[in-house]
Amino acid sequence: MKPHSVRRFTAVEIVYHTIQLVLYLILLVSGGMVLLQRLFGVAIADLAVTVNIHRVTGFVLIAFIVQIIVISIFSENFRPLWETFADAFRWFYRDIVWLIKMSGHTFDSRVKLPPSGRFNPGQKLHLLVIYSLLLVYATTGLAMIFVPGALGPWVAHTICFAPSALFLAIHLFLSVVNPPTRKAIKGVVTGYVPLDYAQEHHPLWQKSADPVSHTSHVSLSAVMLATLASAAIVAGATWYVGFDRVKLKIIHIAHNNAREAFLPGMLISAHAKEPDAKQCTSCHDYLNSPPASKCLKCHQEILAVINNNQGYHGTLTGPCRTCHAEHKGLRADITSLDIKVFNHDKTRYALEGKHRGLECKSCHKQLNKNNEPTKTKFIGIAFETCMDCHQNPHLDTKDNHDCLSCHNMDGWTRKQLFFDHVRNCKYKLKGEHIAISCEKCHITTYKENGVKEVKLINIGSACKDCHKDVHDGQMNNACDVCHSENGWKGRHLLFDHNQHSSSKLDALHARVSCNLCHLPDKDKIVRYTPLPRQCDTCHTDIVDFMNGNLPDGNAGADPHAGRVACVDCHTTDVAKQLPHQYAEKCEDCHNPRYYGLYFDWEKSIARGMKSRLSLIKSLEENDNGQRERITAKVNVAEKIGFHNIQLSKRLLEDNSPQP
Amino acid sequence: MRHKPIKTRYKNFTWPLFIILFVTSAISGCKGFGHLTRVETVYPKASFCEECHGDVCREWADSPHARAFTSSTFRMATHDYSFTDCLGCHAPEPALLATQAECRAISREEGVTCASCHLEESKMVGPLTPTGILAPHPVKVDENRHRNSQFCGRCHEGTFKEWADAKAEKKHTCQDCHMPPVKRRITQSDKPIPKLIVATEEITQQKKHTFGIYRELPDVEPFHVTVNRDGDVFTLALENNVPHALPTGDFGMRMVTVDISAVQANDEVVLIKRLELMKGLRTAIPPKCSASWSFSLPPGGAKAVRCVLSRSHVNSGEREELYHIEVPII
Repeated sequence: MKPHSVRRFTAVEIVYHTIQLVLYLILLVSGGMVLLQRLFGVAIADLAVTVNIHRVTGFVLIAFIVQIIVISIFSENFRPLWETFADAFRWFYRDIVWLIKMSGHTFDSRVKLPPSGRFNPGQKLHLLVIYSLLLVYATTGLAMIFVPGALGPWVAHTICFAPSALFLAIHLFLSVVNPPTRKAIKGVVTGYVPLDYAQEHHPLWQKSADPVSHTSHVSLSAVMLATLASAAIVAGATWYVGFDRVKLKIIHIAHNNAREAFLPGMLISAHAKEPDAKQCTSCHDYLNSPPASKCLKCHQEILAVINNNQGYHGTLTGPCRTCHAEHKGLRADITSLDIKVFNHDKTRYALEGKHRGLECKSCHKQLNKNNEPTKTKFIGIAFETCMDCHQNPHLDTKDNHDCLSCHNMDGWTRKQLFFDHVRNCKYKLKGEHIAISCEKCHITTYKENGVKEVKLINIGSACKDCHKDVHDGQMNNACDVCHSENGWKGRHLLFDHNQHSSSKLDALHARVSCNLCHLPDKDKIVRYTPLPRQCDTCHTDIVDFMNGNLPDGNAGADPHAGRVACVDCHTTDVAKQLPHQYAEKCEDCHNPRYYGLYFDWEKSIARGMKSRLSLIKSLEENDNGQRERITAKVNVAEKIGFHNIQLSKRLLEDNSPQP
Repeated sequence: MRHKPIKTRYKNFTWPLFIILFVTSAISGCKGFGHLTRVETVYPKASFCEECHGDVCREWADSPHARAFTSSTFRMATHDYSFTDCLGCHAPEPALLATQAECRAISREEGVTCASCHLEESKMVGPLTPTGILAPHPVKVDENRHRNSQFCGRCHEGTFKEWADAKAEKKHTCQDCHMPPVKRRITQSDKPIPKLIVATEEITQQKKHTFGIYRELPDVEPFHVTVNRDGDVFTLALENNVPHALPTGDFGMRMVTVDISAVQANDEVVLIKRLELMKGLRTAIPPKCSASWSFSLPPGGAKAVRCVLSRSHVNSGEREELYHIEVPII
């Protein structure tokens, strides 16, 4: 036992005080950093880290105090803590006087203070305030975490910072700086204080034989010095940040009632633009989390959906902030929509067919005044009619037409079309009309914005409404006499030369293509006027061959030329005259031996043709045009055939004249 | 070592052998006569026959029979001899060797040659009896075979049919008109030995082997032309008195043109009409039939109407006049 010291605190009290001091300091510093950043934008450390340290430390402090309380119930060693705490509640008249006189005593040490016990009234007041603050801090801090968005706890928690800082500053000043009282610091470190100090400052606790008549508790110079030091730190910080900036900040803070102090982040721009945005209570309650009703006050479309249990929001329960947490920043997307996994079928408009593959923004777009899409809009997209998204490409039909009577969601093309031209239209499609594309008749144009316009009605059902009259009016538009929907020409042609024309065709010409005889005139229009019936009108080349007239001179006429009519050899009543029928024709005029001669000649010409073709094949590419000459000759000989057989024969010989 | 001459060995036979060889070779013209009637690697050619039967062979050489194979017309018409059906008549085997005319394997260029008609079983066949003292080749006399139309008809089928079908009171045979009669020895030769051999031959009535058109039959007017007038319209009727069609022939685009001309007062001839007669065109005039054509006289009139028949080439327009007659206009 030290002769000049007296034991003031037990070991438990010392440990308790130290731990609490450390945790309290951490909390105050981290809380101060958060405030500093939010109010002045001064970032000493990362805000999120600071906040997390603050939260963890808060929990640790609460846990620590609860733990000490629980232990103290069962442990005798912890009882002094309760006695100390109980001391703070024992107030006497002299204590009030002490507190009143204290302010005077600070500036004039001649003002005498009443004597105090183990703890003077200032210490008791400090203890009460600290524990009150701790209680408020713990309550509001937990509320901030577990009742998110309630405004009250945030306000209280923030406001408490000011008294805590003040009382801690006074506490530290008195225990560390103030010369008359700093000797007592030994008490919370070693447990003992000097006896004379105890007798001087706590006469009612350590009775002294020789009471000190006058004691000085506060050194004015130390107060001044500390105040000056604080002012210097503030001035330095202001200078460092910039006076104008600090001034502006302070004006801003004052203007916003220091709202930033407990503003966890900026509102998204859409909310920030609202006139009520600066009024926290527009969305928040003081004691409860922000209620959905306050969101839905503005978001009426969601309210309607929820009230009717419709759409995606109608299926959801719980507060709005579950999905739409605010204060994430001006440009944050708080829709929290994952378009990859979102099941659109939970909305009122289940997607079908082609709609399933679309980009969201194809339909969910916000249009500005000029009908230009500006951004994605998910709520309030009209979907009652197709025209809400699509434009009507069909000219002459009303916009309220039932699109789905012809179309489905699987696509626009003809394959997906419900429309059946035979069933749904008075103009029944037949034949080739079935296969052609719709646009052939339903003329498609493009508007300036690229939207198709299709003419659907007033098409007309006469042929000339779609088809150009290639006959130039020769047929008086009686198209169906010759043509059907099954095709224009060939076997589809209904035209029967023997029935519809005054000129009858023999079997030989029955299958001849029309344009071999009926040639187009200078306007490229075929005039179906009667043609001369002489063979040589059309078959001029054969006449030339028979007379031996080749492009480069006469090569000798055939004996039959000019003496025999075409029909003497060519039968007109069969479509394809067979070789033996030709041979019979030879026999008819000459004698039976000519029947065989016909085949002899045919074989000879064929043999000659074959040998020339094989010669052509064997010739080199670069042979000074010999190959071309021989090919030309063979081609002419092939055309001539029996019409000038000696000429054919010569053309197929080695040293024949040039064709 | 001295070589011993071979001839000494045959010394005793040399002279008789030489005499025999001389006699036989003198008789045979140093060659013998077997080749004249033997068909082996060397065919009995016309040139062989010509050594004795000079006149006949020269007549034949100018006749269509000699050109039957080599003529360019035939070559073209058979596509360079590729139509074998034609060759049987154009270069026939000896007619009597086969029932049908078949083509020779060799010496085709001679066409219808002496052997084609006269060779049979290594003998020369003919209607005349040899009158010489010696016949170098075997001879068979068949008086009828070569004197009727049927013999020609083996090749000239169509013409023979026309002839056979012709309803004429007295039909001349082919040989009557196309082989003119002539009196001469059957052989002519300027070589000493053949001359000696045939010296004893008699002059007999024979036929020329020209195979052309004999225009001077004494008892037949081959074509008769009459002109009738009906106002300004004249009608010329051409009557065909020959026992085959005008023209005849089965192959080769045979054509006869009939030129009807007006002989005017100044002897100027103006062609009025030209008509083509061809079997293939059915314009040929059958035997004992007539064709008639109407025409008007050219301006200036005419003192006579001339009708000219010509054998014409079907393309080139070359014509060979066969017959012409003038009918005065009354």
